[in-house]
Amino acid sequence: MITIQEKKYEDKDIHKILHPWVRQWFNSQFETFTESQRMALMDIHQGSNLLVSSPTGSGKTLTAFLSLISQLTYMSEMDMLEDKVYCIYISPLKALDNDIEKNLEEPLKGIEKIAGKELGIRKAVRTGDTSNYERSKMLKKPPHILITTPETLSILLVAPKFREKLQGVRYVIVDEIHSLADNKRGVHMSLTLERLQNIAGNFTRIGLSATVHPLEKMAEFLVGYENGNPRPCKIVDVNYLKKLDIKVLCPVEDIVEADPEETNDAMYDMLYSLIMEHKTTLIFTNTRSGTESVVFNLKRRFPEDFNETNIMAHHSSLSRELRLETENKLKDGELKVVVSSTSLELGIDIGYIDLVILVSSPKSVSRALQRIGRSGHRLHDKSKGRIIVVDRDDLVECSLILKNALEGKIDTINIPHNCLDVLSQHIYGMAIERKWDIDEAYELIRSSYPYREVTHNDFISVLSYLAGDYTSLEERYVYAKIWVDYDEHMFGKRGKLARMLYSTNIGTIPDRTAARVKCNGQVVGRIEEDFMEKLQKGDTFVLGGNIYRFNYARGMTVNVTPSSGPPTIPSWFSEQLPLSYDLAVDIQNFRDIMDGKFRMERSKEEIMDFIHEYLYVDYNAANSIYHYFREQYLYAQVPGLKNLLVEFYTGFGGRKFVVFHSLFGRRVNDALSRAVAYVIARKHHRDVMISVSDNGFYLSSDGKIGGLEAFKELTPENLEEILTLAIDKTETLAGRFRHCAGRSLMILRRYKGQEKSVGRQQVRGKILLKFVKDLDDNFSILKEARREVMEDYMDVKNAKKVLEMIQSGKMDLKQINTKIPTPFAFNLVAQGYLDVLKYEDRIEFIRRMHQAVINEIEG
Amino acid sequence: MQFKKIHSASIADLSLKVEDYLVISDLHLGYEQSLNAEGIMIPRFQYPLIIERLEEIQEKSSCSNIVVNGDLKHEFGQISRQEWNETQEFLEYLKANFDDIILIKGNHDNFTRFIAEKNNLQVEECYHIGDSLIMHGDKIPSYLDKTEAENLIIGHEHPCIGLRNGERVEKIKCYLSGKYKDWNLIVMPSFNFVTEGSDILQERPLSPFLKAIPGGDLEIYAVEDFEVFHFGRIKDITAVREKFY
Repeated sequence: MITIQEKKYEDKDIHKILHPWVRQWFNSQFETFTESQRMALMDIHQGSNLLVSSPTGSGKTLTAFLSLISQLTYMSEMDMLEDKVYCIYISPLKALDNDIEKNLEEPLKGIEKIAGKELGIRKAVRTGDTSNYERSKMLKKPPHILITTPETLSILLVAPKFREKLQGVRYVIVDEIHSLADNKRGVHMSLTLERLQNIAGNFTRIGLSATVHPLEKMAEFLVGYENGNPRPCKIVDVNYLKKLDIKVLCPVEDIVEADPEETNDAMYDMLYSLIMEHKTTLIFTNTRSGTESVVFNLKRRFPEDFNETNIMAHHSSLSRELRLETENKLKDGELKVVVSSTSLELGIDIGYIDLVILVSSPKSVSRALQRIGRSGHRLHDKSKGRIIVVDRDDLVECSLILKNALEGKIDTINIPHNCLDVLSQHIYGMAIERKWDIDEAYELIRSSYPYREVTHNDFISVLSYLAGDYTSLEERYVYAKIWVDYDEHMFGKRGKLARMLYSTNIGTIPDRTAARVKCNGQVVGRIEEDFMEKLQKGDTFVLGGNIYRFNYARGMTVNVTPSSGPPTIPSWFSEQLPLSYDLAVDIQNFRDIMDGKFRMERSKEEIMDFIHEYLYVDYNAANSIYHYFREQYLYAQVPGLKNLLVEFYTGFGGRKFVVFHSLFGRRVNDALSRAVAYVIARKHHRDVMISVSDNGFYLSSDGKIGGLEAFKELTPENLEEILTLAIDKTETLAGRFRHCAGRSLMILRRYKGQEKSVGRQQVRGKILLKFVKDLDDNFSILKEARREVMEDYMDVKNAKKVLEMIQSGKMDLKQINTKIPTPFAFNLVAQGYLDVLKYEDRIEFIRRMHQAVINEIEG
Repeated sequence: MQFKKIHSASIADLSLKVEDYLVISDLHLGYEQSLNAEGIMIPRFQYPLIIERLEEIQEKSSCSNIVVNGDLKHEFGQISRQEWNETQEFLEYLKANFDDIILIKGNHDNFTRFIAEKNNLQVEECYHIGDSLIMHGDKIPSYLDKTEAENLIIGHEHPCIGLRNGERVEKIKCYLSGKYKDWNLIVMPSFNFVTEGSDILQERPLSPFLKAIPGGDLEIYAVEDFEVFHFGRIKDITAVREKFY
């Protein structure tokens, strides 16, 4: 049962459960307990599972640790502390681990001072960086509080001696759990916790989370399932305590009319004034290249005020040393401004920030809150955030983010389910631990939240893969990682290298390296290796807003020259964050309301007042939004949830475009557009170009394509099947397959003492995919790659919901013909195509391309 | 079956028919094991594919002799037990199905001699059929000046071309044909099913023969399941390629 904690305990109640030294130390440091401590400490003391969702500055560390420290103090006093781990703290970042160790130093020292003797409570950080010496020290004298990462913990589970030290674990604290839950790292951790529980017996689980929705789901993710029901957990939610001061800012008076350059200039002027008015400003952009460009431009435009010493960038492509330097300078208050993409979202200690600026939409309310929450250090400080918009669609989107943030409406979190690649890793790990009864293992796996519904068939298919059933008997000694005895109903590990292979290859983050892009000897940015592999001589592509021509690649450096014109390489490797579905639906609702107002012929004043009130934006912004929507209304109609507008127009050279105003976010549109394009291609055997954005998608072709008819053929029932076929030959699937093969340990990054380069893995990954497809179209790793593309990369579930809305008549399809695209379609049509879809076999493809090339040569 | 001709050789899928000989090259038996050593746990899968294709080619071309133009097996150094078994099995298959069997040394074939001798076969440096000289092509031999052959047939390069349209890329094995000095040069694709090879539109050539030919002056004949696609010269394709992205 998941329940909301409603009890708040008085100081005197909490004092009773704390060791007198601990109580004394606490009182010497704090006046009283914070709200979250009042709601949490007692239950943690009693061993209840707890999910604490609270803003920064609410004393989270102590909420989680205080009761435990008190218990350890009791044990120390009674000389009952054993050489084993009592508590495991898990965080997604090594930096956070190090912070926590430092933060524990103070209470432990303080309590010892009061006690007047050493208590011998040990804590230690253990990550991939921990030296062999430290490790052996930890084995002799295990830390009572082990501070680690999800990956390292799963390695410890198979460490022959250290795992014995984990048998007495009573507490597990998972920090920043929200940042793990929505990806495979979290899925991986969830199984690790179940395996730990199998070794250690029941322990108390404490999750620390930022604001997410729904917290119940996060709680279930934390505690897992037992006998088909979630284990008990209480939720402590104290987010209402933090006051928000958020505004959306337009750099120019009328963003609809202003040209991009004007807007850009005005944006930097605005950034400048905001920074100068505050002590330390943290700016978030959505991409790493955006981060670089803001730093560069601030320095260039305001050289008197900004230079290397007071402005720095912080993102994941920068070296660890550089990032650490930035963090330290921030803590010491030396920086005026720091610009980041996502890397500073999580709770590493960065000192005092009094303003957070978001440049352009953060694409989800929770991300906006997370980012803005980095400002205002103490609990009762206001978090101050400013969102600067860059164009008219951005304005509408950010205004809705503002509305939802102020009204506490957070996007729903998506937790991946039944990931068979992560499952492979864990079954291998389990087999290394000991022999297992097949049913017992299946039960254990189903107690993890993401696997609570995994089918027996899928589970067996993973066992069968690991047992090497896809190879001949005599070869199996090379490929089989486990043995399975179906008669005895048991499985176990194979091979002497098993533990070593497991320990050096586990994890869920694919190896990715970025290549440096050099133009005239200057590094202008970085591109992913996957993208580099695609580039051929003469290709042009966009990087950091500029267009470059690819000349050649040497190792991990790409040489380019500036170019112009539309890029020849569509950027299907977009690092853009996708718009959250919930937010998209809210924008559509707003569109519907606006449509109604125009139809009812409300006055401009009335509508402006409405926008001002509804979206909490100033009249300037309200004016821009009013004009943007009115243009759309007068020209055609305002699309929304009630009406899905389908716009037909003919472009240059008679090229036909069908624009679907499906504002459901890029992940949903990716799924819908590819499925429609596939239906068309299958029917007409004709190229269909696709372009996808958060606000809709378009299809385009040389001739009539019947986009609407094809769209109507899609149903909630057939979507998944059609999409499976549509993605089959894409690079996206090939790339994801390689990652899944890595996670399933079919491609080993580290093998026989050698590290394999990513480049080689890529080429080989394709061979592997070909082999697997020929072997069995339902091979578990291939199945997982497809699931990952459709459910995690795209959003097939919500795409189905859209089709349901149409099927049930809640959403009408409205068709219009236009000579030039409507205002709402403008940004969408202006962007290049993403992919060309054509239904054909390899041989058809070759014949067609051959004919096309020959025609062109003879042309 | 009617085959496309290049000089005195006919393209029979991945093999060349020269008189009553089938020429195949670059089988790289045992390639899977070397992938294993790199951490790619792919099992043996190409051997049955090779046999199946060879049977089909022989049936359609009705040749009674065969030339293996180098790199029968993959490893440079020591032979693994499996590689030995596979090579042995393959030679036995050839003996059972062809009259004359010619093995030509490739750069991966340091140890092939031992297996060949066990089967009473010789490993040759090169082989003449009519006016054609067949050799692996990893180096330009000194005897070349003395040969009276007009056509040179080499392997080693594993040529293929990458066709791209939108997000889709397909690589297709191909023959290359051009002039090396006064000789007609034919470069064969590899007879294996692990990879298509190296994209001649993208990558630098390996063979010293190709390095000596001005870039782009080679005719491309792509092959896919017995179908031949004449694409014109490399430089013709590179000139128009951009239109297809």
